[in-house]
Order: sequence, then C-alpha cells, then structure tokens
Amino acid sequence: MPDPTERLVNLALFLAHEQRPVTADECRREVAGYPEAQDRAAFERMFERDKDVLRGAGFVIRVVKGDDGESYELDRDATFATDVEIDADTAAALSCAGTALAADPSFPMREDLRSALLKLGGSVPRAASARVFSQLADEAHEAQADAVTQLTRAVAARKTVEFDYVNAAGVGSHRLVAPYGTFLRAGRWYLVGRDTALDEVRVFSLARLTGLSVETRRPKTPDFERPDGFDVGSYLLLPFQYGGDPFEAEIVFDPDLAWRVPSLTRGRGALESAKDGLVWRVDCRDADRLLRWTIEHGPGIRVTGPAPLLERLEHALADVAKAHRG
Amino acid sequence: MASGGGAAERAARLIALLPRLTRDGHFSLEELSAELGVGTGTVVADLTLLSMCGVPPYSPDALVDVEVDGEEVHVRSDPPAIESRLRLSAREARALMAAMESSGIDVDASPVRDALGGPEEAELDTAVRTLLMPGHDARGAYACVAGALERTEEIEIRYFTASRGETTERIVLPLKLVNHGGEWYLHAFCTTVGSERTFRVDRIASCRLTGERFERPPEEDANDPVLFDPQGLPVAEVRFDAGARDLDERTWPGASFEELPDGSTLARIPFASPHWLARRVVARLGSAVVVEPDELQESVRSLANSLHDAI
Repeated sequence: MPDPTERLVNLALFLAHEQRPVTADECRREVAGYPEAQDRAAFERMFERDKDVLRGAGFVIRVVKGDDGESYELDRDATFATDVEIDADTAAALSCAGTALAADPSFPMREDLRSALLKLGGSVPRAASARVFSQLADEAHEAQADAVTQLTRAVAARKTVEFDYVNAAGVGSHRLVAPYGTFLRAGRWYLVGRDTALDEVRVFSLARLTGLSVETRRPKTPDFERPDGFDVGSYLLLPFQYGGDPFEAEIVFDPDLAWRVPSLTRGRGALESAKDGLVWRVDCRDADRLLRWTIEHGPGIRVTGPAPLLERLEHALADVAKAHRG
Repeated sequence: MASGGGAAERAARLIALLPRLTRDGHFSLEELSAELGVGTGTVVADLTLLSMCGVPPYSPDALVDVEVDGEEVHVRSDPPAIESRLRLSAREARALMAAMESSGIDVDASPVRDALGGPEEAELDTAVRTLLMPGHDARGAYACVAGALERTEEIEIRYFTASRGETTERIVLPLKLVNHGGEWYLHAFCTTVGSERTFRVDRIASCRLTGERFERPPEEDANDPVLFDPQGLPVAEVRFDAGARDLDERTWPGASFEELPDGSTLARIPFASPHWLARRVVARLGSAVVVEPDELQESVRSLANSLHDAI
C-alpha cells in the first residue's frame, strides 16, 4: 500500500492545481495513492479523513453542491497568504520564544507552533536551540501537555471528559466534566469545567489528574454548550484571588514603580493615578496571601486598605519582629 | 528530537514546507532539521517522499523537484500548484499567538495579527485564551534581549532587585533565554560584577543595545540550564509552623525539609542574598522563624520593624 502521507500531499497538490471544483470520484481516479481495490464506503471514509487532515494543515476546502452531488474546491484566497512584514524586534522575540516553546515537551501546542513558524518561513529566523530553553510545567511535562492537547480538542468539540482526581486534601474521586478551557499558572496547567455531578464550574490541576478520557460517542454532536462569553482568562487570577469571601483591597505603588505595574497587576483590578503613586483597587479572597504578595514583590508597594487588613499586617509584623529578637 | 509523527502530522509538515521549496533554493539538512523539529534522517525521508509527490500525470516535470546531496538540499524548480505560503490554520495561529504573548508582544497591536486572521477567526479568539502568559512588555525588554542574544551584542540594562528595592545599571552579555513556569529569565555575563548572573526579564526596567559585539563562549547543553546553583551558598535554617503552605522545591529552590515531632518543618535554605531571604521570611507573617544564622535574624527583625513603622 502506498504511504498515506504521499497520498495526502498528492491530494493537496491536486486540489491546489485544479482551478475548479472536483468530485470525490475524480480525486480517487486522478490522485496517486488511493487503493484501486477499495470498496466505496471505505474510500468515502478515507476521503473525509484526508480532507480533515488538509483542513488541519491550513487548506480551506469549499463544498460545492450541484445536480450531480458534491464537489470540492480549494478557496485559494483563504488558503494562500501574502508575505508578512514583521519588524526586527517582533521577529527577534518570536524567534527566541518560538524556538524555545516549539521544543518544550510541556508546551501542548508545540507541533502547531513548529508548523506556524515553518509557514512564516524566513520572516521569523530560528534561534539557536542551545541559547533558548523553555520548561513551562515544573513536573510531569509531557503528561500535562498531552492532557492539555486532549482537553483543548474536547473543548472545541464540546465533548465531556472523565478522569480520576485527587484534590488538595488528598481525597480521590472520579469526575465527569464538561471542559470549558485550560490555562497555565506558575508552572502548572489547569482545567476549568463544569463538574456534572456537582453542577458547578470547578478548576482542576492537571498534575493531580489521571486516566483522562474524552467521550467518543457521537463525535460530531456536542455534549454540552459552553456559557456565552465564557473566558478562561477570568480564572487566571493572582495568588490572593483564590479562597474565601471576596473583599476589595487598596494598594499603592510608588511612582518610580510604574513600569512594573502591568506585569504585577496582570490587568486585574482598577488603577488610578494619585499624588503619591498609582492606587490599585483589586478583589482579594485571601488576606494573608495578599500581604505576602506585597512584601515579596519588594519595597514601594504599600497596602492602604481596608482597615482590618492593615491591622492584620501591623500585628503580624510585630509578631515577626518579636520572634526574631534572638 | 521528534521522530516524525503519524501520517497526518507528517503531511501537515510537508505541506507547510512546500512553499519554501522554490526554484534554485538551497538548504542544509541541519537547518531543515531545526525548522521541522525532526532528526536529519527524518528530513531525508521526508524529502525523498516529497520528490515522489506531484500532480497528474506524475511525469518528472509534474513532481516536486527536490534532491538531497550529502548534507545539502537542492531545489531545481518551483513546486507544482503551490504559489505562495499557506495561511496559518486556527490551531497554528493560536500556537503562534501563545508564543507571542509569552514574549510580551501585544498580539492585537502587532502587524502579525493581520496575518493570522482567517475564516476561523472566531474560533481563534476563544481558543487563544487557553494559554495566557505575562502581561504586555511595553518596554520592549524581551525583544531587546532576544535581538541582542541573536546578534551577540552587549546590552545596557536597568535592573530592579526586588529584595532590596534597588535599580542598578549594568552592561551584560546575553548568553541564554530560559522560560520556567511562564516566566522568562536572561542568563548573562554581567560585566559590572564580573561573573554570570540570572535576571528576570520582567524586572528589566529598560534595555539598550550598546552596539558592541562579543564573542560567545562555547555553547552548553540546551537541556541543562542552571538558573540557580546552590553549590557553595550559605544555608539558613528556618522553622515553619505546622500547616505552612508552599514548602517545596519550586518555592524554595535548593532547600531541604525536615518535619519535626511537633508538626513544624525545619527548612535548610541556600541563599545568595540575605535581603531576599529576609523579605520572604517576613512575608510569611510570623509562620516562619529564622533559627540561624544570627545575622539573618537581625535582617528579618529590621525589615519587619521598618515595614511596621511605614504603615
């Protein structure tokens, strides 16, 4: 049997070469690689899979319905692109980040990234691999990346997933979840989805998840609808925004720290200029985590409210000083 | 290096490569190996297979005209039917946008964004949020560092040291860019202190190319970057209350932990800067106490008092 890759490339070239709609039978007859002895149903399944592969590679194949049935035509404008003008700074940044991530086993989109960089060709030169390195996940690199890949496909197809999960308290259970999205935070990948047994949206650490399987029945029929406007980014919070009841905290950044503010605040909360710096009002659910965060990120970051938070800080600092009297 | 993947993955790779194989093109096997992310043996197999692909009637002039000659790859004529590069698929665009976000590029403001749009733009816009990275790097620090790394050019940086709250100016020779857990670090030779140092890119307040080139030292193994080497550093003993959170290697690099009979934990923590460790102990708000050395106890007390007085 001919190499299936050869058949797929030949089909791609045939569709690109013919400037007209072509039928499945023409493809079967003209494209080298389709087995002659194959029965009709098997060919149709193979042809459908082949078109899906080409679509995944960036081919936009239009279905043209006529009196004699369906035929297929390459949408050339949507398939082929003009050259991209990339400025030197962007090219340098993409070169380093792209090369590093494309080789990172914990980056779940590494194959797609490699393919994207290949398509961009000379516009983004490859960095020397010895000079760039990436390790997004800090443990179970490939397992987490593989799970993200499976989950991303399940999100796109709206298929439910099952897995065994051990929560932070060490309690294990089997979960059936409608997956909404995944995100990376501080070296760990997380899944956001609706736990069907609890009927609540929960966040799951992929490092604590095993035996992941995606619902395979009725692959083209969605199992659930994701809520309109859902944004997985809204779950990517600052460390003090997970936990108990929310309250609003007020932080002031010294004026000379203004350049750090975007990377520190990550777009959360509201910023306002004041006489003594930038005032940041942000939702908080863990007071001690917030105080820890402000101290660890260095001088020039001051908590100014609410009053109970200031009292907690005052007492805690007094305790620290007392415990270190020697 | 990957072995080459299944038929679909391999076909996608070869289809993406086709527009690059234009008349009179020359590549090295090594170059294509790096670009394709597969070994040179797989590249040879890929190109051999491509040379058998084409359009009807599959005569020699209707096949992909590529030839491997030793370590070199030669292309004699344009590939049949493919006249320009392919647009990115939604998945490829999503991956590229994630890489851009990870390096602090504002994707929406970048000209590259226009090249990514396609018929599946709606899908792209929701899918890209599956990977979010640090905020936009309006200072262009990452791009400056990346450009200098590629050109082996010195840079002048203003670097903020969070533990001391100091900003220092340094001339550094970029050696390596490393991403750990979503954060980028620059490993460089710092001419100011005369040794290699690691800098968090998001703490580089400004970066300027000096125009001076330097000779790069022999390259080390890319898979073994050492960002923090505890060897030879002083070690502090810090006792954490029972139930204290985040007592692990990722939070305290190089540390060892011993659980004591009363449930507390004694951590032995290597440290390069007493300011760094003192600040982290104070941030534990009393649930961590320095056992030794005495100087560190004093640093913690002094910092706690100054923060207390500033309230």
